[in-house]
Amino acid sequence: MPLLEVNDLSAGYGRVEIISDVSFSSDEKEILVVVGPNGSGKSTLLKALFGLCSVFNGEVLFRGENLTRSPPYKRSAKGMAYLPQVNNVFEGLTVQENLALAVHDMAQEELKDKLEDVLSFLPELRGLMQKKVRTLSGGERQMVALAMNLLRNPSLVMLDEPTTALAPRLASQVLKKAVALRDERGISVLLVEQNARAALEIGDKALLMVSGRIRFLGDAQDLLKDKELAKVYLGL
Amino acid sequence: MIDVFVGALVYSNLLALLAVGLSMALLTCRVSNFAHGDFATVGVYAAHTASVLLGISPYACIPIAFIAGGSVSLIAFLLVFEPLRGKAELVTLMVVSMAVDMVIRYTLHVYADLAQRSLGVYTRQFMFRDFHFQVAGYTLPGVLIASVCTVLALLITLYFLLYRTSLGVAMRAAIENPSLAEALGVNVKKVFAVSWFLSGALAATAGVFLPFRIQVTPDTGWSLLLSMFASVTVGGLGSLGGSIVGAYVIGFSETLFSYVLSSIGLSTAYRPAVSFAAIIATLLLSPRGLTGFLSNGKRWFKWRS
Ligand SMILES: Nc1ncnc2c1ncn2[C@@H]1O[C@H](COP(=O)(O)OP(=O)(O)O)[C@@H](O)[C@H]1O
Ligand SMILES: [Mg+2]
Repeated sequence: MPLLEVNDLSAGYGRVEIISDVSFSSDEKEILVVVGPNGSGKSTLLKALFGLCSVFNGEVLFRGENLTRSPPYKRSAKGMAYLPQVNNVFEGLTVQENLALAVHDMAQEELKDKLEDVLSFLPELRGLMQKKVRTLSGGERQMVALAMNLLRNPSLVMLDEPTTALAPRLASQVLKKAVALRDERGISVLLVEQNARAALEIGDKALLMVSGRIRFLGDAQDLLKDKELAKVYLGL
Repeated sequence: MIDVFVGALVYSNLLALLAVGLSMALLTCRVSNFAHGDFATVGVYAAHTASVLLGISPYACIPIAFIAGGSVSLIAFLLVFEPLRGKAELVTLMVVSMAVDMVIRYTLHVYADLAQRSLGVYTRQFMFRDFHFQVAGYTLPGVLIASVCTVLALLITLYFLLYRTSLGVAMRAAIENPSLAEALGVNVKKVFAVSWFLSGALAATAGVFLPFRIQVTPDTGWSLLLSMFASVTVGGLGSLGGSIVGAYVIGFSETLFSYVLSSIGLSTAYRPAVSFAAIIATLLLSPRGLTGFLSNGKRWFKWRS
């Protein structure tokens, strides 16, 4: 059984349909890269998978369970995690409070170990615990956002353009974290990226969105090699 | 003069409880809630009814009023404001809250008539009888000490709830960014439901103290709306601490102003002018209220040093 299965999904905002008839699946321990031009509906797809916009048709199955109509907090409890493209941390809270929020519904006993575990994966955060997130840099904020999601024991992490607005060195660091998520933690990653080449190089599967529909679905390497698609839609 | 001070302090205490709740409605659902005053009136009638039926002091009925006001507020949230949250515009929400106000207020009017007949007591223009105590030669009303203690206890509890518990972190997070909080496993609807219960409960508690100072009717809470909005505006929209400070500024200014008016022989009907003037002055001089003014001041100070 695939970890995530999406069948004929149509979704959008209000009554406006943005993505149409999207079907794909993703397995455990897999990086699925979602690429496509600006405005093609990549962010909308992630929101639809997480119950944060209107779904008109189709279904979302996670570990075989139909979550299409579940509120986001239930999906989170089932093991899905989602890092929005913008506003993915609570600016008014400290780093510590942000992390505390992520575990607010969990048993107290394991928290210390879990926090230690996540900090060993993201050592960048150690010195920042008492700082207000408002004062952090873009890269540090992404780390806080990732830490919050990891604390929730996800088996699927959906990242929406985690490297935009980051310096190239930091961007490659974030992509390395995505690989480490898969290889060290066995977590599946659904990665939306502007930097198509770097993302496809680390990806297992790839999904190309154009105007709200799937234009290509298959092996990440195959999309890189497809001269026409890569040139027209990804500028490679 | 001591009477004026006592009056100002009691009135400010009540405004503080009311303004905090009004801010919570604003923070959670972005609604300028015109029904908020009615939650105080629910407290008035819950305490009045319970005190007559049980034959106990209205002070002892505070818990009953707390629950009654909280429940009415919770119902308004679940039936009206939660379904509209994040979907309706600010003006729509405001107009909807006026409709909610009318439903609650006219229900209270009907209730007052029914209660008058079945309980055999006055339910309009009535007051509660207070006890008095002596301090340093002054005779002070019981409502002074009762309201000071209640306000302190409730606001300190609220502070601990918000800043020392995981529910509080969830509440602050849900206020800042509801969809992100939801994505991180927070049941935002539940957290906001708790906020709305508290908001109505605090208002109803304030309501219990009203009949110790003034004659009340089913419109009394509604008539305090202007002062509440003034407190929240002066304190800085979106800041709970600010609205508490704002409540004391407005409470004392209003009381002193009407004292001055009556001592120079003018009608105290001009009293609301204070709130209007405070709202206008705040919006002109420092739109983010005292909170904004202070944080600007801090920045200015840092920049200088
Ligand atoms: N909150 C929203 N309300 C209405 N339309 C939106 C909203 N967010 C995005 N859109 C529209 O949906 C389309 C797809 O946007 P998006 O999913 O953000 O694309 P991408 O992430 O691929 O750049 C765009 O045309 C955009 O204008
Ligand atoms: Mg996007």
